[in-house]
Amino acid sequence: MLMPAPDPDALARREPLLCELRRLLRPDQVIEDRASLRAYETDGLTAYRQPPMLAVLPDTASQVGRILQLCRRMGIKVVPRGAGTSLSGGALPLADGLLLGLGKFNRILEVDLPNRCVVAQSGVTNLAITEAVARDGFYYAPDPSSQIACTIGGNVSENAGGVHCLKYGLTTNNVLGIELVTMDGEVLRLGGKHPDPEGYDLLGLINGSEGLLGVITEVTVRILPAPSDVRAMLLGFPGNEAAGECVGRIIAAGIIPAGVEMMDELAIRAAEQFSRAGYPLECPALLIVELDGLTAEVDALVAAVTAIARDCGATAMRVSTTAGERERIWAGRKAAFPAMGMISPDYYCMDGTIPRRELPRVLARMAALSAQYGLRVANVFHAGDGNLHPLILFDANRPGELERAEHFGADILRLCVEVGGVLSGEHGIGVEKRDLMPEFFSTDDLAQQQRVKCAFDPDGRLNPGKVFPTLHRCAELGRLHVHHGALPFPELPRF
Amino acid sequence: MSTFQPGNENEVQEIVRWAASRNEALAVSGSDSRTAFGHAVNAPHSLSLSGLTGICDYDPRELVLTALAGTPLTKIESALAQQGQQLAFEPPCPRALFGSATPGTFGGVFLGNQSGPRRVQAGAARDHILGVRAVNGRGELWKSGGRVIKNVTGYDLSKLMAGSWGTLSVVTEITCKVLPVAPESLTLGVPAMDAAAALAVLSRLAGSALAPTGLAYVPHRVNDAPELPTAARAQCLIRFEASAAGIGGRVQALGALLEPGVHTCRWTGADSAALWRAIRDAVPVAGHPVIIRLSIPPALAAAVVGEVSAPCVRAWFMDAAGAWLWIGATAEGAVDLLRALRARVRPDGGSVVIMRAPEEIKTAAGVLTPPPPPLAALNRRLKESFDPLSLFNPGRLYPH
Repeated sequence: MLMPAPDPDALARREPLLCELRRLLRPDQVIEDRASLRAYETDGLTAYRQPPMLAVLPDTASQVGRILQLCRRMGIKVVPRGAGTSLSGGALPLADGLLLGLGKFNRILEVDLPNRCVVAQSGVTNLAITEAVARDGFYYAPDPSSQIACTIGGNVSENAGGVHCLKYGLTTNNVLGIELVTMDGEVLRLGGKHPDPEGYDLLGLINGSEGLLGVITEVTVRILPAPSDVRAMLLGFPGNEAAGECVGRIIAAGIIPAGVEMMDELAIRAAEQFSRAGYPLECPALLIVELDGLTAEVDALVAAVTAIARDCGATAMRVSTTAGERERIWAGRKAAFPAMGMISPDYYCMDGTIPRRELPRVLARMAALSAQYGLRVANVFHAGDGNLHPLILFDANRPGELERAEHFGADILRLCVEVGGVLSGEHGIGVEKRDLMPEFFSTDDLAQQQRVKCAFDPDGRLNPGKVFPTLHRCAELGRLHVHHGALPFPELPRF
Repeated sequence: MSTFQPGNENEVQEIVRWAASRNEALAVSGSDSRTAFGHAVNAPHSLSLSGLTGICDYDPRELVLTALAGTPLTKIESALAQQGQQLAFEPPCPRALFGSATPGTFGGVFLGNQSGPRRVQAGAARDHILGVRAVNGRGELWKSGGRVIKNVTGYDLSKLMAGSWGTLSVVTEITCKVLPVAPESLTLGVPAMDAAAALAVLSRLAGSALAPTGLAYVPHRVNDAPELPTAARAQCLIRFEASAAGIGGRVQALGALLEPGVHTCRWTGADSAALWRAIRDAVPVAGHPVIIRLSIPPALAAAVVGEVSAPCVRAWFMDAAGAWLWIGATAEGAVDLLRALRARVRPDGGSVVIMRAPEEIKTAAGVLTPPPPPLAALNRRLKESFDPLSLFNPGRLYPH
């Protein structure tokens, strides 16, 4: 994956930029030595590494505003970074760019129980929000698997999901307010503690914008009352098709589980070996169905799902009766990614979404691709919302294997698009899937998105090289070709 | 002065290109059921999407539906009902508020981000939009989102269309999330004499694990309407939608949460449905010349009610556990009322929107609260990024 070539003029301005940054910030907030900059050279997509030209660690929105103004004036690119857990390279630095770390934005500003929300600085971790309200019986719903490390600002940027999205929504459905600093240095407050802000849905636009529109310094999220009863069911099936059918029938029966996860044979074996969760190794496909609500209704739901699973040929079944048992059922699934480390030197985690009904076809094609590329693939699947996470196993020490894994991954994503799905469910496009965007979007689709980018960042200084495969100048995108024509469609009914 | 009714998206493109070539604006609408919302649109031509109808894709097991923007809402709702599903955000019918004879179009519901009482549990229309196809002011067809629930592939321009009231692009097709209808529904009434007492009950419910799907308060003095019997007045209305087991459990738990037996009234079946339709459609305040809706931090509701005792206020009610406050007022004094409300919510954040009012009041106060200058400038650039010539519904949200 090629990043935009470093601009020699920008590199030449390193010293004056450093000088200006030191004027704006305390000495401990400016990082310039090579060794310290190395700490920022990569994110969760570790195959790509590039130390930034300089890094800064501001701690107020007005500092961020002054830094962005300075960068705009000096023509310097900026890459914002939360905890650096992006799996798509969204926080990959640029050789001629400034890395803007939000690690110092680490305070929860307000727990507002009467309004059922939490106001947190953008560098607060996802889990810390739930921890701040758990003893009051609340939680923050989106729970990406990196939740102990990933930040709420990063969650907003990537519209992070997790295992409970079908019932409780993605980040975008749980954010009430954002403080956003634009490239002009303006500090904008979007939304607040209320639903349905007036005017254009800028909150909806910022969620999932991958750090290309502004720098998020504060987030207000809604918190939900914890359900009084939660139970997990572990269901083993003779094949992926039967497991997929079971999910379809559960939903057709009008049941929206809190979570539905599916694992294939290789994922089950690796997870069991790693976590000893007690998964039935004789089953080639496994479902975890989590049901929540009041005890009486969870009883009824468990009974209904049990009957559906039996009809679909489930050969193994376990229902948690205590919180400990539930955690054990989840332990294997939650450790699925690290578990790959036990069966392969390296793995490449993919992320795409498909209509659920296409699952058998997609898994069959994936098996064929696996044979073609000579690389194994394990599958964990957020089956409720169609989000696939194929894990491609490879050995980076063998020449060419990383490239092969990347090509295999790209083919999987093309397959997702072919069956009516999309390139990313929750990890974002970043640099990883950037060049696949034309597989899904037309030139006009991408131009419209880039014009929106221009409305925020006309010089294209914020996180360039991510999301969009080609960089266009805003002036060029803004040009208007007007067709001169007569009244179209004279046959159209007019009244 | 032309009126266009395109039958497919290519025709929409042609019409927009033609309008662009003449630099003449288009009043874009669906079935004109909510045209009364917003500032008057000054456009020589109109473009109606009522010819773009039909469900393109609906697989109940995928919980996703795609339809053309002009499809009548009734058609969508009946297709969903046949499969035991619904638009969970409970789109209101514009009849009471806008005097419309039709319930509007599928597209109109999303373009106006129209949600009802279940918003408190299920989110707004914008939370259910998954993808769009649309024509921008250059006559280019663009798409965003997809036909799946979980998606971070490019900017979420679909959400930006929700609540844009047709000012950014002509949306031709929408994909949204659909959800099952719960098997049972029950509404309980808990008496409350004033806003503060009501808010205490509603907040306790909203913060509980009982997951109520409607939390409203209708004071004693509201419009007389058959759907709003005296028994439903001065009551916190609490709706549960769940399985029979779930409803039973909730009623029992409610006793522990409030005082046992505190609810005096209960509505089931058609009665419960009629009551919530009335809340959804703003019947308690409809009919007054000026209708305002506030979206505020819910804990603020009682205080705001306390301050809206202006003589022009004729009726009000709370929905969404206090986060929505509907006000019906006379024209006289309404501009001052709007100014006072906007000043009141400014420190804590909130929105104060004119849902309906005589034109001169909209002009004097603004349908939306004027945003601070940097945000206004960003909104303008955003509008230009889609519609550089300002062809679509010019001035409807923000007058020039």
